[in-house]
Amino acid sequence: MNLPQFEFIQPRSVEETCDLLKKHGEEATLLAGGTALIVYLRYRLKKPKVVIGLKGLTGLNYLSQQKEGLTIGSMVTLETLERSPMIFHGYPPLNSAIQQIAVPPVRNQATLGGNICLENRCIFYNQSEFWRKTQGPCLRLGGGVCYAVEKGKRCQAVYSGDLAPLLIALNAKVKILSAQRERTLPLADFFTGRGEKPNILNQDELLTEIQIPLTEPGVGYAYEKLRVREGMEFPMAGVAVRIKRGENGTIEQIKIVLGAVGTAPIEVTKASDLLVGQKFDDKILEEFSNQAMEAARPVGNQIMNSEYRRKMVGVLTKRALRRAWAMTEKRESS
Amino acid sequence: MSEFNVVGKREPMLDAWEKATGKAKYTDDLSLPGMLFGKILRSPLPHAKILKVDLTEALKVPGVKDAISGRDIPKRKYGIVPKAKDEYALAIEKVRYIGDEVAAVVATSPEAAEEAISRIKVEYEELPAVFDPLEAMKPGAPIIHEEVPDNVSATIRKEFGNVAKAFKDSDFIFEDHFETQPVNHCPMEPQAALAMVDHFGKVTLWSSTQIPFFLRRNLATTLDLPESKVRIIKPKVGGGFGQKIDLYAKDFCAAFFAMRTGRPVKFVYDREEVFTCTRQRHPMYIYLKTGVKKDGTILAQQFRVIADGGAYNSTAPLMITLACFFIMLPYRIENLLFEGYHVYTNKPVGGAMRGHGIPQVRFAVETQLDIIAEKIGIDPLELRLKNAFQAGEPHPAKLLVQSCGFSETLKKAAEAIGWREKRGKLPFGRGVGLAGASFPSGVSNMSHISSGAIVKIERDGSVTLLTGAADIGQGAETVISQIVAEELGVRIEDIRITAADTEITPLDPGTFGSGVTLRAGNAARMAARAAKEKLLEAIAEKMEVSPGELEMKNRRIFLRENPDRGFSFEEAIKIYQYSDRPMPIIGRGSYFPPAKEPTTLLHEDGNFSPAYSFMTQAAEVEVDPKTGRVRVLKMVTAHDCGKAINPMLVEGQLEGSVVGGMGQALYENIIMEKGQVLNPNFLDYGIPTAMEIPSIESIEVETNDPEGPFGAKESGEGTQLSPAPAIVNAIYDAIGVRFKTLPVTPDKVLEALEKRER
Repeated sequence: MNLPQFEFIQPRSVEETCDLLKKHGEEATLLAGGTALIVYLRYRLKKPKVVIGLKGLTGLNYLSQQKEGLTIGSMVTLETLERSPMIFHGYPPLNSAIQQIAVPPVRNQATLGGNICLENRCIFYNQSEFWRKTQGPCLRLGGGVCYAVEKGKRCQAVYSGDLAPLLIALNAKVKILSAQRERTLPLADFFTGRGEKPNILNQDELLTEIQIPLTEPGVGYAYEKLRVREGMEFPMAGVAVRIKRGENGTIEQIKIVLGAVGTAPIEVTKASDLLVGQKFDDKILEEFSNQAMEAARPVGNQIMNSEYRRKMVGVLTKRALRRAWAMTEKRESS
Repeated sequence: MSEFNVVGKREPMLDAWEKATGKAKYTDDLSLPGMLFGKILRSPLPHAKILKVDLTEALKVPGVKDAISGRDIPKRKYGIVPKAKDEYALAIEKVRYIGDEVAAVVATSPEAAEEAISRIKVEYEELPAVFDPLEAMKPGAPIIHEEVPDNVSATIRKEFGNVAKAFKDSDFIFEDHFETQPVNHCPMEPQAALAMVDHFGKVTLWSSTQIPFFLRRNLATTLDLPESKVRIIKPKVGGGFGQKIDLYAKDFCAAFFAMRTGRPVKFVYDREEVFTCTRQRHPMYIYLKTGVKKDGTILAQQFRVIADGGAYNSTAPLMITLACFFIMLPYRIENLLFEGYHVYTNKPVGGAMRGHGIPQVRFAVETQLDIIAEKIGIDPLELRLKNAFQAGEPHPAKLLVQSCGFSETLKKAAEAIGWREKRGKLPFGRGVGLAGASFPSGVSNMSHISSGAIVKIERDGSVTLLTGAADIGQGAETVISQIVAEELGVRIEDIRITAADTEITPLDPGTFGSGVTLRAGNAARMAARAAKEKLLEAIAEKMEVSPGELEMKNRRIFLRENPDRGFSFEEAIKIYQYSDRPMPIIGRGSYFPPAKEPTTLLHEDGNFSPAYSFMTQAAEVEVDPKTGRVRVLKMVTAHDCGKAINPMLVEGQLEGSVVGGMGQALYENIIMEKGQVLNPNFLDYGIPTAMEIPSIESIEVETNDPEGPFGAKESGEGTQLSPAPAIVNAIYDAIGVRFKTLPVTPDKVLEALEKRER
């Protein structure tokens, strides 16, 4: 499978990039690390006339600790993040989540911005041009049929990023730039929940920065990923949690965000409503776990069956909460 | 202390450096001036008549030089087994699976070729398709090949002893059904071919093949040329595992287009093509009935095996025969009935894969042995030891087993995994298991298979070795060089090897059936010995002794009784020349495994292989009862490979094989929906990564086989037979759940655990 023909432009600045995006509109695609895009191009899932390579944007390759928290340029590679002492010491669960993404050669190329902006995946969509001929185009490609969900009327492709759920749990924000304006919004609001168009970026916009607030004392967080192999795989389910310890071992705040079991990261809203102020015990874990399973929306568009993935959301929720809670204990004592 | 200087040494593979630094040249690394790039159009339908193929638009794409469809090729069928030829290089009248070859183009760039393919218009008439062999066997099922109306294209029925009586005499009878999944070989190098044609019309093809001489025969057939007009050269090959023993459309198309255009032509498959359009291990349905005495003695076994062959035969008759023959070892089975069927379906094609038909039935046998052991209250290790075949025992089907370390492999593997301390004694979720197997070192009595070699001693004391053996990454060239160096008493670096060029090197069947070391090794040793005799004759004359009194070792020729009297290798060559003998000193060897009559085995009892290897795999696993994930913590593989010519390479073979077997047990599965592969890539096809590889302990149980070169037997394929049942048995020890269907994925484990709780 060869690459299709396209014009490749490598701008030197963010401003130039925004101008190019404005000029080429729908015909342009951004290339960050390329670990996802190149496959889409080979499979002819994308046929851009212009590919704008972002490697030259050295201005987006930064990682700094401010007093409000961490700010990270969108072009920082996952490998750089993995090796950053700032993250290793300051945000150990984030370091561990990064290590669970793909394999080292991919992390060496892939960027944080690219990871957040991943296209949604579906076993009936992420296939070669030849493969897709057998069935004909699916919903997302303009055909009338969804092959994943019988009689499905909207694309249910899965948001499979590993980092977004954890970053949402940490109340991260993203900065978005276009030729006209700059806007900053919670990462939670970045996702549309539409399988075919998973994020709110307009055609002329560029994700430039991720801001992760400092975690307060008494806060613990964790990410658990479901996969069969220790390497390579996208999550078959992911659970990120953030929990804050209150007085006497009670839960003061809680946030549970699910990944890879729906068209966008899913925040388990019931969790925060119900259980704040309660003791952290097995009973409450069971409740959180049930709520998470209820919130999950896995459909049959992955290799692993959806019922199993839903069940695992429950298991991973408990594991993530236990780890996060243990972290609050450690932090209190230190 | 060793009697050998080169044999038995941990020599690094001769081309290890070249490969590790990326300098080795594989087929796709080769290019010739004016070379064209080819691409194949494949069927998107599982079963259809081809009504019309219109190449007009494809030929209009700039850079496209030629295009063909099935109509344009000689109507000559091919197949790796002569009596089972059922395939055209390009489909002519109908397509039989998604991926079947329909048309092909060549262009000045791969991009143009790909573009042209998309412009070919094919009209199909879709036919009803069948995807399950049990359905395909039913009357009224769609017929995939007209000449095989019942879709059963190969069968075997073998019976000896008195099965009915033995079942009657049994204290216990066990009946179980097993199922195995299709897995892909996943060679790192995808299939590739490069062809050119010279002024005399001779085709030279560089191909990623493990079987150059068979490829020559098949390619000549499909091109409708005499064999003398076809030359096959095997460059470096990046793994085959059985997948590269077939001719593929890429070989034919490269050669055919080179003939039509007069330009060199290259075809390289992409990974998706490797997954869907080459070969895979046959999925099987296995019914197994076993009768045993109270004390664990196996009295009889009855098998009914249905192999899903996919759209074509490939190795069908051989595969189903191997499945049958290698349940006759490593246990003593006096009464046996085996019925095997190879069935066509509209799916990717089954073919040879490491173990070739045997891992599936071994999974059934070894899993059931544990069921038996539990039921009658015997330790599974004891049960196996009790029934273990021994060297020299008369075999009910007349297999001739001259060396057999099976019992020892059982004991050593059990000891290394901690059998006595661990089995049944580990906490819930942890367990150990083991399983045994036997494998041939090449086939002797099924077809005429021989190897040749030429050894030349040059004037400067170097040695040139010509062998047809096909090194596909296993290290055949290294091992054969070691054998020659040992025989001549020189260093391995004195040997220059040229391998696998059908025009230069002598005939060799290639890499399959785990017979290379024994077959090609014996031929090379014979050639070395013949060259040595010539040299010794000259020296004996000079020293006025008889050649039998001389020894060649450490690059010297000397009197055995008085080692100080002698000459260096270089001096000896001079003496040879001054005695007016002709140079170079050439020795020739041709080896044919001892056999009663070629090709009688399907009709009557007799020996199957010149030598048999024996092995035991043991596993320790950990199961996460909440997620159902199984992790293999440790694998032990104890292997009787006769004499290990190169222990390091043997270990490499054993380790790779164990990981492959683990893939079959837990991770790998070609998932299909209506004949379409859903996971034709390394992301979705769960081949184990470096992260999954457990701690592996390889134990070489050395026996000295009288037939093998320096006592060597196979080590390549046998080890892949039993990792899966060892792991599955360990899972039972860990969580008390028995799996009879592979692979054992987390969702299945969890479901089984939940079922048990209810």
